[in-house]
Amino acid sequence: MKLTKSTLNIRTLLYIGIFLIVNLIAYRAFFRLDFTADKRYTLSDSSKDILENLADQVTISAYFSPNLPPDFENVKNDFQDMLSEFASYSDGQVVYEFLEVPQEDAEKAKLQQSGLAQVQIQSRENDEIKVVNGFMGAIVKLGAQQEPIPLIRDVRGMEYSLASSVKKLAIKDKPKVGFVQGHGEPPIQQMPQVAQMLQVSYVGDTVNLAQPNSWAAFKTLVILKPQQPYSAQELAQLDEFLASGGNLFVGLDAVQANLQGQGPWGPLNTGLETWLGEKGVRVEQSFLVDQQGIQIGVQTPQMTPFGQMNVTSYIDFPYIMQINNFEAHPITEGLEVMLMQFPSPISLSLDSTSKGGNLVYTSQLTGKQPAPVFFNPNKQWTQNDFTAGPQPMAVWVEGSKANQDSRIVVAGDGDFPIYQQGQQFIPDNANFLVNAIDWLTDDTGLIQLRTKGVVARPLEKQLEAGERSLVKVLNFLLPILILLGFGLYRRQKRKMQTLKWKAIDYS
Amino acid sequence: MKNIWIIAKREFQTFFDSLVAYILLFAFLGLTGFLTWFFGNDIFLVKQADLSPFFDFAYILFIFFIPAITMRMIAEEKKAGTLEVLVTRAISDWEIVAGKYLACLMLVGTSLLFTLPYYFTIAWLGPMDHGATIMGYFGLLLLSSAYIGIGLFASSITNNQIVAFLLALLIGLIFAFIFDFSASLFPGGVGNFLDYLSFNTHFNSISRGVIDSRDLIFFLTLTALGLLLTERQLAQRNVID
Repeated sequence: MKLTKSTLNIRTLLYIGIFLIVNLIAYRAFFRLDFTADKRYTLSDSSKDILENLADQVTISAYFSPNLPPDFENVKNDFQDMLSEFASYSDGQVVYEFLEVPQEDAEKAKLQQSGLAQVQIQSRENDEIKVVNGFMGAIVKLGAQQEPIPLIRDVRGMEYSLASSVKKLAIKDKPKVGFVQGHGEPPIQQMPQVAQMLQVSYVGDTVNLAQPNSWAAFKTLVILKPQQPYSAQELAQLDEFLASGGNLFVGLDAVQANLQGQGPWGPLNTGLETWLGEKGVRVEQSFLVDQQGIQIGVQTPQMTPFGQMNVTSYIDFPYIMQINNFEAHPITEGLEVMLMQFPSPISLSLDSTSKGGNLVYTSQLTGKQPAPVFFNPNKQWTQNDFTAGPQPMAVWVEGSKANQDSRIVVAGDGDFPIYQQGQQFIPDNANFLVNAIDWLTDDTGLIQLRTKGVVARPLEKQLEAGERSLVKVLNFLLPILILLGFGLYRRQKRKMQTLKWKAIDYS
Repeated sequence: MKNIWIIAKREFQTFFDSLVAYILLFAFLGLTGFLTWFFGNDIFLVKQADLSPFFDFAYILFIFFIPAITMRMIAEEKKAGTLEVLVTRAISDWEIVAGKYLACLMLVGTSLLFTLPYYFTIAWLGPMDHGATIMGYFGLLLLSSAYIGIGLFASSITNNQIVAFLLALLIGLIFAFIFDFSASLFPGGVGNFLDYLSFNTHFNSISRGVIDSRDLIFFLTLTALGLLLTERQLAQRNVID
């Protein structure tokens, strides 16, 4: 064939055409392979479980405002991908639709009333940056019930919001979790984060052990931070509950501290520590101090040129500590850091009928101070105060003489899940309690999902400044040195080759 | 196939016989090393056991690095008239283009091999997600494959290496940034189309650890388009008016 300019031009157009068509087809029909270690972008077994067991049809209506900036558009695409996976695993029981977001304010208000969050979205129109109110959420419906997913802004957590909403609607008989009251235990309203997570799978209620068999309807009981003693009858009720196969979470303050004044801080006796001791769980009446403690501000009067004034100075306070030392267990899966205040150490001495293990430890640099303790704000903490090694602060026990199936989780602190006004709440504090309740109630379905995709991968190796610099410099120089070495080696080789050639006698 | 491999090997060796490869690799490794370990959002500042700072910097550096590799590939031969020597040896235009493409890809691959100390260091420092990280490297290779296609095409339409470099740089910038940026200006279908053409969209998707057939096909077809247009450009010599 003769090659002319026009054949070449046709060829060019053909190439570009094929490029566009192939990509258009690829855009419509595609597959994805997830290579992340935690399969972050793949549906987990617990979601599939929920979907496969759906008895009624679930409708998911997604509302995404039009003309979203591309980053949000990507979230929308991810959400759509996930919905199509949900639909395919549910065997037709999940249907989804993307609905147009209404323009009228009255209609918008209706959406907000059903639980969708209105968000401000920056968009650019006619060379002007405009901030518009938009929606990026969904409503999950089953029969007459509905459950909003207020805001979807990241692929992480997307699966949990969707699966938990579906589950919330689909569960017919949610297991009941009882919060024991009557001994100064804080009501569940003081734990809004925990309450919100629990309502997905459970019905929470209060329990008064003074009434016999008040525990009968519950699968799991929670005792948190009791301040007054339990009577012998109440403890007997607990024994009956466990013998019937019930499960128990105890968050126990075995010591009592008062931040106003300097002590003494003494032990706290509720009868539960002895009762737990009979089960092989010994909560020591000691204070733990940890070098991973926080700093607190103290007011000290000082003389200034303007007279005596209160000045805030910050002191190390190792009684309140960050905890990031977890034993591998479904309860601690995905947890990163908790905050505990005035915890006590726990030790296990189990007989042959039960098994158990530790869940949470303090750091390597931990000290133990038996109650009572006099607190001295001027104390200079040194390494010698932290020589006890990592101390367990939460344990699990499974089975007892009375019943092989009952489970107990005990934490040596009762404050951790309680939200204190004006203080930052650590999410993993709530996650720990909810995970524990999930494990106790043997409802492991959503336990991994909650923390899925939010797993941080922090640098773990503790390096000193000098070592860090060495790592940096080595990584910077090593590739370059290898390159230089390689170059010199090649040069040398060529030189030798040339010399060899020169040495050949052609005569 | 044999011819392609012979050309690729010859070209690859030529890189290392001259100073070109050393200067380019030195610049690339020096810059990525500095940016990854010392500057701004370095590994110890981000405190995460992943290589994403490196991937982000490599994404930008490749825009300059790859045109510098590809610029002389065809422009030089056209200028020196050495293409004809190859063609008289019964080597087709396509084999020349494919061989040169392979050589460039091998050089980029080599440059990535030199960054393996980063990988091992971070795996030692913390719990790295190996699957996601390896996909990051794979994404960089796909990305550079598309850049090489563009670079070779730019080198084939001129005899001047500088022009070839600047042209490849320009097209690269358009795919790397301009499409991405202008996608945010146009809502709706046009925006989606521009977003699809943006390297950023596809590279981010792969480097987070997910192989999506759309990203794979985008980079591979774009590479093929670049190479086919390069071959078409070479064929222009033989046009009979």
